[in-house]
Amino acid sequence: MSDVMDDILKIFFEECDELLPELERGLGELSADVSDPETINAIFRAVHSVKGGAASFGLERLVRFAHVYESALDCLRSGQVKPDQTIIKTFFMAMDVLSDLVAEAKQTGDAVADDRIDDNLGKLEEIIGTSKDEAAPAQAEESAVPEGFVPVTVDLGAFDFDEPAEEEAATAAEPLIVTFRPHADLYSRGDDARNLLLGLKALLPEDQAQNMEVTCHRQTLPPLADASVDEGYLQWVVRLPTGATGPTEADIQAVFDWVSDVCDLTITQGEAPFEDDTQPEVEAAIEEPEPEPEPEREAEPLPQQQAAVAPTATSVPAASTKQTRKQEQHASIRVDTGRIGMLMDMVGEMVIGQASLESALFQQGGTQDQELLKRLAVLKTLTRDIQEAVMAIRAQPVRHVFQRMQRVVREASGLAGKDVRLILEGEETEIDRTLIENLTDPLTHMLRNAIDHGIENPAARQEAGKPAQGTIRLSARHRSGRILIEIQDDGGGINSQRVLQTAIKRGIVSPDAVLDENEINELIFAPGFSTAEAVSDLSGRGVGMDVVRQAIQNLGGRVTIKSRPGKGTLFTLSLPLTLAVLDGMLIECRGSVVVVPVSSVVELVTVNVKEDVYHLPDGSHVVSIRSRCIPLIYLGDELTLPREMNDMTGPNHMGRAGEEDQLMVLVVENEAGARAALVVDGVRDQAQVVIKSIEKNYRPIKGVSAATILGDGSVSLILDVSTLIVSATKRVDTRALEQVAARIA
Amino acid sequence: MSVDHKIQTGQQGDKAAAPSGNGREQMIIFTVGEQRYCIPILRIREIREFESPTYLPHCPPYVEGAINIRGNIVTVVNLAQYLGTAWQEDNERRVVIIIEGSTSRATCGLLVDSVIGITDIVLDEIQPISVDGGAAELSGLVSIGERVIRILQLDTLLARLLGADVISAAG
Repeated sequence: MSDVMDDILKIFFEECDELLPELERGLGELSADVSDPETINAIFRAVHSVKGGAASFGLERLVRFAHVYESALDCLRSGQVKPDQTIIKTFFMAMDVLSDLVAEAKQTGDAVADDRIDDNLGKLEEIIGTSKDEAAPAQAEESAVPEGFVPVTVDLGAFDFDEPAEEEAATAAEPLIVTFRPHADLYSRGDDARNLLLGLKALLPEDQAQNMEVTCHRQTLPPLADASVDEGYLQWVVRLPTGATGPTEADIQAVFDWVSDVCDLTITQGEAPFEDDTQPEVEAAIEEPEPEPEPEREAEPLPQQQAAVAPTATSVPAASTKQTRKQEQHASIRVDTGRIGMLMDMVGEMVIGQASLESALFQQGGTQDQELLKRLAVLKTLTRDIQEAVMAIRAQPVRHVFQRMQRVVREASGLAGKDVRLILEGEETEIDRTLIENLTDPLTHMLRNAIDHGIENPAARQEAGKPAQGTIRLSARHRSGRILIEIQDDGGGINSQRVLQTAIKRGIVSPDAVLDENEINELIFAPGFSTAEAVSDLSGRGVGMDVVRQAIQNLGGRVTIKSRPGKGTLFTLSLPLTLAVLDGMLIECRGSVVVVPVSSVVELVTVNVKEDVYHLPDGSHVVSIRSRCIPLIYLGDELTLPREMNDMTGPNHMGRAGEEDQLMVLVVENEAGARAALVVDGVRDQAQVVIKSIEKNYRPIKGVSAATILGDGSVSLILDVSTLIVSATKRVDTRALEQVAARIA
Repeated sequence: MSVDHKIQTGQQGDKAAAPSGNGREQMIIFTVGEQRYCIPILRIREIREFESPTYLPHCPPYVEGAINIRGNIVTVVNLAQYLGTAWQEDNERRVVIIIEGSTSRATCGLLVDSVIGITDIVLDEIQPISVDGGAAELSGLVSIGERVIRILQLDTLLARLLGADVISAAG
């Protein structure tokens, strides 16, 4: 049982992950001074669903907060408050608290401080407070009750009331008449009118309980043949005796609080307006009040609750069509990513199988059977289509990570005391799921940097003739098989003189280095570089842009930077669409084929062993390519590849670049700009390869990042160029290398 | 490990010592060099022909390399090297037994000289081997007829492949 609950709880958290971004997006749209009722409803629905779900799991703190939040949003929904900047800001802050509370319940985040909750609750209650004054006249109108109901008296004896039904004079005060009509949605949530009646009863002091009168109106109940099993037709009228200890209107409202959106409710003092018409006809036991079978109870909250129902008038057909449309918009299923991975693997195998079938056919002297060839071509197209379709399953819009950045900017600008607006563009651009997951950290860091270092203080901005509010534009778009993400701020740009001085101070470049503007800008990506004089909360923790560059490069991407002093800075991230495939250069080395990521290849050159290769005293080698010294790596030795039987090259492990004394070297570069030359035997091909993990079944291998499967079904290793370069440069005298690095920088 | 699966008597299994019931386990017997070894049949995913694997850099001597099994990269272990015995030269019957870890989902291939058959083993008849170091290559011995068959400890092997025990494995 607990397993079942855990599963349901997991579903709830997954839903929260969807609802919270929806809430954020809705709030973002509000800022644009357009209060589209659909948007407000969406916001309200999101908070409401979180609350509903949290309540079923007894997440008290979450429920308490969501409840007040919802009430405040309700004021917005009913038009009692206008969404001005302060209110929207309050809602945003509250949303942050809400998502932190969800994280707390999920046990992925720290406990949320009580005073932070109280602070936000206070602000939300202020909104509710202001609306109450204006709301009074509006509520009076709502008390109109549909006429002509035939009330049905319900025997309370069958209703768990343990006290004997004693006739007693009504209390002196006028009784409160509560009229409510549950909508079908109330039942579909697993709630029941009975619960509401019990709730009302609980309001009464014990000796008064038997004085509650419950009447069921079944006026709207159609003939049974016409009744829809999914609809709720019954209306209930409850007379509650009031008095010194009796319930107040607010108490009653509280009982209906959970269902306010799926239940019409009227509370009047004194006799109900239709009391004269009442003709009690049937005495019914309350255990079976509904003519319809009760919809299946679901423990999880329905994500598409019909939340926005006006208090009195509900047109049933309209409501149901609306519901259908909503569901169509969100027609999706949840699939375990592991299963998709499996599907990807199998499709990959299918591609290989198809290729081997083709090569087998052509190896036998080439078949002349035209029909066979035609069908093979159809199979080939189909295979490729399936592969693309499977890839597309993993693709998700970048919206998920972009939306999160709103909060980053909000918090960061709050801390820095700057006013910054984040504009999102191209949120619908789709990239692979794994990329999305890995983009959050680098983007967060870059945005914080832009706010901390890029955007100036409001005063400084106005002095420079710019609006006090800074703008950061975060955009995504596809370009030639890659995705481009741009972060553009309208701040002061990079102060190249200061960057250069810092770099010199930190020993990143030598004082006499001559660098152009771009090279200086690139320095901010150097490890250990941070221009912030004081370590601030935002950035400047020493893990600066080099970490960003590293993270992006790990994703197979590149970062470039453009800066115009006084105008702003533009960072461009260029990323592959998926992490599952890589552009690789297939190189041969001692009979093995290894893959080098094309992104790290600089050039392929042939060097002369006698003239260009130098032996260093410690046994390592460097090669001079266009008078630049680069550490030389004998790939075969580095990877301890077994020597081929017919390998006639001598103890110097020379490659076979054709002529004697010639070496074919592949110059590769890592993210820091350090280079190394790999001695290879030849280049076979360039191809997109599917990345496969080695570490699932084996330990990590130094110098190898992953493996892939070639067209013939054999396994080939993908080189980890970065590690290779680091290990090569460690062997070579470090001082010589610094010079190399300085020249590169 | 489940022992109450449906008992099937192997073709070359010792039928006399195989009354059905609990407390027994089906094992597959294979040879490495002159020795016979066995492993629980439930750990075996498949048996396939030996194909030349891709060499893995810096690997211990008993690792032959990696092969592709339906899109997964699986390491092949030369059991003769691993167990320190001689292997049969020019053996056409060499096969790779693909096995799976009992707790982890890790898989690996065992290069063996030939597969003999399946047998039922009464768990009580297994003589445990106590090793001070704990990480033993074998988990026990069992006599079938006149032969003593060694039971391979698969989890030790997988743990070594995954690098949990790199230093001692290299030594």
